[in-house]
Amino acid sequence: MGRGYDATIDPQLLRQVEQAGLSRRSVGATFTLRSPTIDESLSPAQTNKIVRKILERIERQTHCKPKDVSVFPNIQSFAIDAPPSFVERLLRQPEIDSAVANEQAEDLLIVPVDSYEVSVEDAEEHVEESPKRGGRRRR
Amino acid sequence: MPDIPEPVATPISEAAIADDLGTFMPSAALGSEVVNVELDATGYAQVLVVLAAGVVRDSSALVESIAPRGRGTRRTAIQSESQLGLVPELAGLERYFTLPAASQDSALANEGLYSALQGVRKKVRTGTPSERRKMLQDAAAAVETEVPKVRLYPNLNVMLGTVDRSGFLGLQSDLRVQEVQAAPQISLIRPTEVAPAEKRSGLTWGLERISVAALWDAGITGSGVLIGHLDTGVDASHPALAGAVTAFAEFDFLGKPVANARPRDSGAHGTHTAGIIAGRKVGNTWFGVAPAASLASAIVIEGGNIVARVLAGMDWAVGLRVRVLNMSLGLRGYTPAFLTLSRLLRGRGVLPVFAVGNEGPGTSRSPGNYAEALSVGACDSGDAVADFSGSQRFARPNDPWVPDLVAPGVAVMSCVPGGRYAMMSGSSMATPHVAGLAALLIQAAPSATPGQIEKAIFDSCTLPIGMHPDRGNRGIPDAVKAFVLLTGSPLPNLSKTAHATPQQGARPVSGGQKSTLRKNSRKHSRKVTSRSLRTKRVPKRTKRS
Repeated sequence: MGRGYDATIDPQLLRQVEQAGLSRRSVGATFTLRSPTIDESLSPAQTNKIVRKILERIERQTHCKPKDVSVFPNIQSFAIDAPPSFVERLLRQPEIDSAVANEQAEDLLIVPVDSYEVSVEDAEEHVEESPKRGGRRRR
Repeated sequence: MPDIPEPVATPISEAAIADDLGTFMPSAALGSEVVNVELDATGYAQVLVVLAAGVVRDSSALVESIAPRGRGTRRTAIQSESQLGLVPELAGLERYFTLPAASQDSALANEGLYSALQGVRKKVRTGTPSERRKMLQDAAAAVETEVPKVRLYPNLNVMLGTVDRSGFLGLQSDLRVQEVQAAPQISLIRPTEVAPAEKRSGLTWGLERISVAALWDAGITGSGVLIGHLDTGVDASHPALAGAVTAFAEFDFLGKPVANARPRDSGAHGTHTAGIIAGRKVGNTWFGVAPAASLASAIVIEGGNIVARVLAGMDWAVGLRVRVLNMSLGLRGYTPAFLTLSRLLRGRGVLPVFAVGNEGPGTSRSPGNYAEALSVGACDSGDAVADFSGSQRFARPNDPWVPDLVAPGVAVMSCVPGGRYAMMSGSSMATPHVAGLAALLIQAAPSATPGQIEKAIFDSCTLPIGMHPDRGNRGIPDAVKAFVLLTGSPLPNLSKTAHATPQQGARPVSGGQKSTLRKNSRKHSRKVTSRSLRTKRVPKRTKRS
């Protein structure tokens, strides 16, 4: 995923970076840091430290800064809103395990396929034949 | 948290932009990247092939020459390998396509055949074994299961089909092909209905089906267990959730917490799933699996497509030391981008219980389709996998099939904002049944790891007669069996003295008399012992624990 990058990168993010670069809009992305080993994870303090280090490094390289940063120390991740060149450099950092576009094209919610209101009362027993797949409902 | 320097935007020179963009891939190649991800994950990918201009010379004549097949078949006017042969310009292209057993078309075809056979089995009651076998064979022959490897749409100049790695490379190098893209994922849109008021009493069919009441009788109600609930939010003022929501958060576009956030639901989905996990008794009705559990609930879907909110919710929930994380959300298809996160959750002692999706056979959503997730599909009260429930096979040695199991997910009753109630259907409804079950088991064995809880749930599953393992995997869990497997002990017999319930709505227990709840339970509910005798044993799928 993401030719030329060691990190696992959401193709939508690459598309957004490319398109934003042409219009100079900032790009939102979320990043997860690499774990030391498959069984270990970074502590919150380590996460904060590494995120700071990476951001400072890229600021020196690109001479620009992110618009906003949120760090999620308990899950070794962070989110950023930054110029596309900044984000693109981030994708190449060895500390980055994966990156995803913050704004996805589709709704993340798994929408129920069916929904209707009912009322709850102390009453007699419910019908014996329960609704099956797409089948009848008692009215 | 240590200070991070306040970021400030600075202008970037045009030359710097051009220089950076020189390393970017052109947009057309990004569609191939999605195909490569799918090929890496499953070995196959559904693709849309855009033919080069002028390859199909007379599309209208071609369409007229292709006659539709008769009723009851899966063929339409513009698809079949033999019909593709009518287009000499495309001769040989069909060899790049394949129809693996794990594809959506195969899954749908097999689903149709399997369902037809199950329908016949139920009707066959008399006759010799050979006569019954002949009836099944005749029924199988009557079902059209042949599906085309590739579909041609001559008016659109595209082809749609499934490829493996060699087929993908072959198409890309064929001069008749302009471009190969990932096929668009089309979701099924079903109507939302509002029906007149309906009466309910006792346990919902879902609670009956996974046998939670027996654990309640033993005093196991989820008390003391905190469950992470990341959804559209929650109406904590609902009577069914009184006292259940002990923490609430919402986050902005970049995942920063909103100050002084008060519990609310940006829709109805979150309140409904919260009710399934930990709903308290309302009137004479129970619909919460763990009616004494606590919820740490956050709005992570408002508008529904901001990833930072989801990560912020995860981070927040982990910080509160939740033991289970219920998420009924995900991205269609497979993306490995959340794999590390899913492993992290387990490493932090959190069991991630994720919905598999509602796009039907041959589909799934990430992160629900990871081996690291406990993925849940939906079944109905007839023990059939819901036709909308996702299922897919992946090219990985550990846990290749998703979902891991199925749980009640059709016509599930729970609470919705404004003091109201609703029936909803979806893998989103099935997932909180399992999250609630996990909470019960955690109360029973507080030091159990996520892997141990998961294994007990998996090993408690039974695949009902008529449920195909490709769709339901391990089948439906059973709370009593899971308790016994986890603790190594039978359910405790409580003393005849009635227990005071510490939390409002927790089911009263009295050892010496039958519960009124059981008296009001549905007539067709099954006992654990009879169910285990009636269901078919199949080899369990193994999973890394």
